[in-house]
Amino acid sequence: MSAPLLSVQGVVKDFGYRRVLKEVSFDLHGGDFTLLLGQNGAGKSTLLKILCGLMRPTSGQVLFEGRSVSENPDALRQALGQVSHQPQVYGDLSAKENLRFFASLRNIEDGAAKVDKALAQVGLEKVANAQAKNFSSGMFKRLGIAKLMLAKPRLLLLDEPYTGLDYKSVGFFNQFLGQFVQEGGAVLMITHQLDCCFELASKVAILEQGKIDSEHGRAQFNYETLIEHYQRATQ
Amino acid sequence: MIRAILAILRKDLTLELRKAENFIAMMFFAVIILLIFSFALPPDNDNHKNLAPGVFWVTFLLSGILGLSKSFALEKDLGCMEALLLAPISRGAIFLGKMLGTLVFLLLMLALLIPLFSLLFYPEALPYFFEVLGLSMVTALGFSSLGTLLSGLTTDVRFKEILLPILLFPLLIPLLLASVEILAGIFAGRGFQGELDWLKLLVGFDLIFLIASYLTFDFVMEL
Repeated sequence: MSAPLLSVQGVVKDFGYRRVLKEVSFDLHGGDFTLLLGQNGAGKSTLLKILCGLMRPTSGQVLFEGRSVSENPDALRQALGQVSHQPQVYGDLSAKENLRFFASLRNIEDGAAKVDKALAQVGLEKVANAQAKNFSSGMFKRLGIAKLMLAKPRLLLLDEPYTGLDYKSVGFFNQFLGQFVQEGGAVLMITHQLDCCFELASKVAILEQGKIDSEHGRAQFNYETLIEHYQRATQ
Repeated sequence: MIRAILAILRKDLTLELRKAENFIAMMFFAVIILLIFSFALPPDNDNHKNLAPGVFWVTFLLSGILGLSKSFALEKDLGCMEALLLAPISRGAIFLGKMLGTLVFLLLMLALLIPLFSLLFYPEALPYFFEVLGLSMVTALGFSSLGTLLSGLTTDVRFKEILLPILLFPLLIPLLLASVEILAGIFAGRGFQGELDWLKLLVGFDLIFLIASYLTFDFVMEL
């Protein structure tokens, strides 16, 4: 098997006296689509923040392509695409201005043309010059997907990406994710909307009381058993 | 890195010019402070002459902190700070972009504050407009360097509106002292040459806090 793109090794996170993550370890390879399940407060979002490099673990380490993320965050940031609970766009800038700004941070060549193309791909070309603060949550998500398309990441860390997306947008997003994984990208997704992404998932990990309780490969689950795992994890 | 700094600066200026509420609030607050001082202090010309440098810089500090506290607020609104921190740019570039954005608006405020100050408090200040503006650039650089760092530090803290001035003002005492003394020298007709020691202190303050803030911003933004 190839070397993991992301390797989580014995990650512990304490908030004061409370231990939120207890020796969490797993690997993410190119082509993996891992669902991370767990009840509210299980530490999923904290884990994602640590994986992004936004938060330091109390102990343990996260390696991206074999190098520590805390010591060498640039390689991860260059390769990372992320969707979080919040839209991560400036409300007073237009959709186009938002994308141009993030494109310039990534030093994307021919940014203006690529921004227009990404907006057309997510169906926001007609509101490209409208201020983002007037967007619906679904439109925010589409703008987030356009940002991902521009960034051309190799690793996606997604926290509840389906929230606010309509049926058509879910289909479009899944198509993007499917192609992304086929091209060798890795996805780690936190979601409670299993019906949206079941077809894509190649692995399921259940985070329970701060540690990965079980991990299942694609051969070990179908939709029914996935629901069982989910219900057990969220009980 | 320069591209990232300019992108953040351009974005901040666009956002601020589009809304302008922050800048208007700063200017309005400055006018109120100047009016309070002119009503509270006896209308004696000698009195005003002695107090003018202090009144000018206190007005600047109090209204400038409004701009500082809003600098990171716009990043927090829709979770943009997270996106900025995850972009493949150095945290130092984020600091410099934000600091320069604050500096531009502070200088704009100071350029308008000088005639307002002349109008409402000390008419003799107007002939020294360019000297005061030159001094303002040096003072505003130190203020925005330290202020941007502390504003970033307190963004996620409860009662940040109170905490920011509590942390910032004591550290600004050397800057305030030097600026008041130099401004008194300018109003007395001695110019910068007569206050070289204070000017060295001011420039030293700027350099120390610009470099220290640039180097420590990475740690400040750790969650």
